[in-house]
Amino acid sequence: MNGVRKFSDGIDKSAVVGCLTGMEETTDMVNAADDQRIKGLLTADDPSALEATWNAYASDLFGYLLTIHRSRAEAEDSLQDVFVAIATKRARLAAACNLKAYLFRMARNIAINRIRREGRKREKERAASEWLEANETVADGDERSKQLAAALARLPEKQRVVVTLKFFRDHTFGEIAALLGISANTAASRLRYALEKLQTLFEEELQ
Amino acid sequence: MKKLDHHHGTIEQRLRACRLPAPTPELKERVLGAARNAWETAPSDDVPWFWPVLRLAACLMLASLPLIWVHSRHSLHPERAIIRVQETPAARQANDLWAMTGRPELARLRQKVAKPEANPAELLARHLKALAVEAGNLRANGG
Repeated sequence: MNGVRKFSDGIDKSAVVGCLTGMEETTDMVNAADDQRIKGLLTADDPSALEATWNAYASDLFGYLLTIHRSRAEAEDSLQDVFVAIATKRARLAAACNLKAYLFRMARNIAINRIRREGRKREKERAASEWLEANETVADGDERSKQLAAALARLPEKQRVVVTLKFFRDHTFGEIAALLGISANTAASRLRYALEKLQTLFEEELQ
Repeated sequence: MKKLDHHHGTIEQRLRACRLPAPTPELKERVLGAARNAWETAPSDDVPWFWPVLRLAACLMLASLPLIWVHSRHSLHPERAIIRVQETPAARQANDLWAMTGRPELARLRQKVAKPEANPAELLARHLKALAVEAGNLRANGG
């Protein structure tokens, strides 16, 4: 009771929180540095901005598009459209406050337009597509990843996106909130609802 | 609650066992190739010509709002008279507000509706007379 709060296992909570906050700050600083460099290249009308954007954000954008489309082929096409849009709208992109959030919004709009355009034409392909991979270390990984992909596909898109950003991209709630333009509390509650729903789905599956 | 946390722990384990695939080098080549082509063909600034005009119009509208507000306050405030009062020496002498307005039709209207002021002595005599009549009536009725 000397003012330091501890977990039940004796770990100093303030130290953990401080460590986590420090990690978030470091990630923010890295993102800000990337943003500044890319914006500088865009302003200078330098095409190497495309490669820099790819190196910084392609994995995140591809993961986000996979989550929305649930189809590898569609996600690849949408990612190409995103980079073409970056090339044609580079002046606007250079003026964006949060480049990563701007790119995520751009990616979502492109994906939604593609889904509207294609309609139900590719629904079968979407259902059969393997948009999740198993980690090499896991036994029966392929079967598990198929089950999980099927369960995730039954979640609403907003919840599915939060789950993938949290578990597959290791973003904090603050980062997810900034990327999706929602509050951190909303991100947390979407994750909670998603986990509850996944639990129900797996229980139904077992029965 | 513990049960719920345990269930969530199981789900989290399942989630941790999977990952999203990373973009392949072939995809990188394809995407960056298409983007470079678009970069070369697209103009450097894609802001439409009417954007600055719209921005200027919006700024002018915003700037004019305080002016409109001041003007409306000046013309409609209850303390400000709608009819401008021009105080002439003759009107001041006559102590006639309507004459000060410089609107002859208002002055004529006032003359029409105004009642001639009665003399207080005459008013008192009229009331006394009416009281005497009432008293006579009461007496005649045996009151």
